[in-house]
Amino acid sequence: MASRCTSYAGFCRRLLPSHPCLSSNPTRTHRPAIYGTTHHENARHKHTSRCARHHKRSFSSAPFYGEPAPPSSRYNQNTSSHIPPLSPLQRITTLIHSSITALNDPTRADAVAAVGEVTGSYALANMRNQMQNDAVGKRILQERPVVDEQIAKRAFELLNRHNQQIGNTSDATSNNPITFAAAYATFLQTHNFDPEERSPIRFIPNPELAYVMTRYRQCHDYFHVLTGLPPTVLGELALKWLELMQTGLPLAALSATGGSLRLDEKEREILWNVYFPWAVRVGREMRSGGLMCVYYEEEMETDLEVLRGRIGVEPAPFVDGV
Amino acid sequence: MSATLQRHTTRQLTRAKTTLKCTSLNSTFASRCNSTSVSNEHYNVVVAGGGAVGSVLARLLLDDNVGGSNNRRPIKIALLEQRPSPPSLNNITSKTDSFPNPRAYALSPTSLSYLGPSVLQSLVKSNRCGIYDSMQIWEHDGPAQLHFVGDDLEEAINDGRLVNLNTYLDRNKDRTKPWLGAVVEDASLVSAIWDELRTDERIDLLDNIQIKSIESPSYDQMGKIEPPPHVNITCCRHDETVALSADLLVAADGANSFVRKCVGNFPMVTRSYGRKAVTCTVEIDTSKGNWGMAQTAFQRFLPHGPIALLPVWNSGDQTDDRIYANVVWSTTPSEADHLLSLSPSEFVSTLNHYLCQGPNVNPSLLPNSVSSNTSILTKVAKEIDSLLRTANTALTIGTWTEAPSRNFFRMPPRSVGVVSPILGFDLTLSHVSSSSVNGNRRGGYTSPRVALVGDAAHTMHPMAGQGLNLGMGDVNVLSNLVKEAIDSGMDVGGTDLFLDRFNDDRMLTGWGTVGGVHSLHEIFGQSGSVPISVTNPQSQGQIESVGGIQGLIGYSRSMGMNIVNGIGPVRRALAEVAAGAVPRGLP
Repeated sequence: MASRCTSYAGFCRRLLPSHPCLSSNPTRTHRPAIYGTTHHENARHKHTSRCARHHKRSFSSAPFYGEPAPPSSRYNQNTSSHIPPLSPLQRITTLIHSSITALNDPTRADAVAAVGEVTGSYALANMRNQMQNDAVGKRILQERPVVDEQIAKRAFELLNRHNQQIGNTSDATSNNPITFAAAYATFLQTHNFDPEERSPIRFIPNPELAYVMTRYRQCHDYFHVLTGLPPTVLGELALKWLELMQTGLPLAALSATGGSLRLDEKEREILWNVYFPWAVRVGREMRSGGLMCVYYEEEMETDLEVLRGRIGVEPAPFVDGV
Repeated sequence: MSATLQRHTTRQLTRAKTTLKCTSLNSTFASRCNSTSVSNEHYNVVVAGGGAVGSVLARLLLDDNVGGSNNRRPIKIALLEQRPSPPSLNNITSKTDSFPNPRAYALSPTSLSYLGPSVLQSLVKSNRCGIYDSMQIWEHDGPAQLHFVGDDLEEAINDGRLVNLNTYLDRNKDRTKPWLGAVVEDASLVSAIWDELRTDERIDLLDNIQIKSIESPSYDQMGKIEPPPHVNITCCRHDETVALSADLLVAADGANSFVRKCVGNFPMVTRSYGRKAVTCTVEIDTSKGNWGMAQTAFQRFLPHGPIALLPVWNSGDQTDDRIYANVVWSTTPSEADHLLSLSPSEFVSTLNHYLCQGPNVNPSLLPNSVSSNTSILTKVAKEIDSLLRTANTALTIGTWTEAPSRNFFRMPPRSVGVVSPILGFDLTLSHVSSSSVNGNRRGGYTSPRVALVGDAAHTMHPMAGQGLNLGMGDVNVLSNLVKEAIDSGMDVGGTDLFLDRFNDDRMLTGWGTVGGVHSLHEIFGQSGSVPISVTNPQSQGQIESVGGIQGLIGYSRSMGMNIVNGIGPVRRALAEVAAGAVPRGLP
């Protein structure tokens, strides 16, 4: 499983020399983090070659934004329980710096995450209010479930059970409903993702808002499962439009805008004519913030179709030839 | 444009020499009148035309709470109506099989306040108001949306710049959200006001009356003969000749005003929009619950004009489970005629197809010819084009405003059937103009002892719903001036004092409104896409881009709408203008 950047190489923070980002391992393949705040992509050859190009540009010579600086003690991860608030100037400089970093090298999940954190306070407060007004959302805020290895383990167990059931039934073509967990495990397995690899929160002092942001990042994979969108550039962009409608996070808008530059003409056409109308339709039918107010950990054994029906997610249309 | 205006003005002025007397051109009616002369009754004000504008003017003139004087003097007015007097509101509402009449107006809160508490209450109680406290405006070839909500007017109401309609309706104390306006049918509105006028003995309601001739003083007579001669009106009623005289004759008899033509001192600037409006009442699909309409006014801009879906009959206690809406679809005359020729079911499916769509992505800013080019410059241009269009869409979908709730795009409800006749009418811009002769004003809203209000003085595109609201503004200003004159013991038409103030106020407001609506018409007429055609069902597919300067204008408008929607103070200012609030900073 390939590694991914988890720390932020700003002027206020420096990568440790032992960090995988600095190890000049040319084989690592990152999914550009701009398309999603988690993990990497190895499914598409074309994509990989693009990332490799980025990789070369960023590391073969000194990047134009300077060499990574030593980490500031201000953002020591050991004291992450207390995050000091940013001053407006710090916020702006962080935003500019991380945006340039992220644009220059989309593999830098940490920079993308930083952009999301410094721009998202208003939308996050809205999301929290929506969750507090919802019975399930309120419970999520109180219990603060996290996506970790335990969840993945459980999902894989359920997938195994599901596969056994299919093996037991003589008729393999019979309509065997798949549970949400099995679908999730299949997704993780197919794309070789690790559910725990996520950027920690570094710039949101309010612990509740920080949790909402974490939850949003962690639920991203669940959204993939619910919508059936693959973690390709096109799939991520389609999901970003839905997330933008659901959360109102400026990061989603920035990713959707910046990311569309990485599509060719045919893909763009598919995005606008197929996926965008789908995202708007689903986002409109669902109540606002509906995606965030689902206790996915408790829905592991729910039928995927039932869960989709309850939330109001219509699976994304399948486009041939992409 | 200004050259055209100028030409119109001069041409019409030459025709509009001061007229002393003119008789009705309609000789058939004249022949029916025998020459019995009724004694010459004198009134302070004679209002010609008992429609919405005329009857509201009469009501305001009789309202003792309007105007600032403690020393109220008696007033005597006459209301002349060509048609039979309207039935009382109870007679209208008691009909159970009736449906909302498509002849309806969107009235702003300020205009609704001119109806007075009792009229408004009776309209609301009898379920004859279509109240809307939110409004969604969007476009056909871009993502942009404008959402106005009643809360946008909260500030103006708290500052005392806008009337709080909830104080008019004791019953609706729970309905705390301010209204953006209400749609009221013409017939119900007129009936409700006449019901109130009938109880007042200071007004003579003369229905079935035909004005034959008007004798108004010329400009030269004003100030030379003391007191200046009154305006004399000869009418025909029930085969009798009725002669009236008045201090002031007010023409509220509509766009084809007989009084205006008869007096002849009123040069008009007219300009056809080249558009025709189609209007009808539709029944709304309630299979998904009746929240779809939910006190919202929808308006989608197509390249040839907007389609508006306005709520009607939603102010009552909702005993009826059928929900209606008023459709106003402005488009080119050929498309309008096509729509009028459709069967009701075809009309409904066409309406649903064109209204229940959106939001889209802006069309490409590059013309189609560019796409075949593969030079590096083209590639860069394409990337920038894509970036711009995506950014605008993201701005819409993000719905970032300072408002507590995010206003998502709401798909308007689908219509299931047309319940009224489908009517069509041509749209024209018209406004009275004035000029100066030897330093004296000629024309405008007034001539000696005659004043124009409402459609008699101006007509405009219905896209902003400002037509009747401007007329209501006219009658409000005029009624205040008439009262000021009467309360100070003066003859309101005998001097230029009051009528000039009326003219100055209304010229500014009238031209501002008509010009503003016209520029909206022009801005929304620009589109970066090839206009889709209603008449050709083959063209109902993809939006084709034309690019170039048109595309750029379309894109800027789209972006501008998004930005206005996001910036609270700007959006609120717009909502306040539409609601008729007093601008900030004015006393």
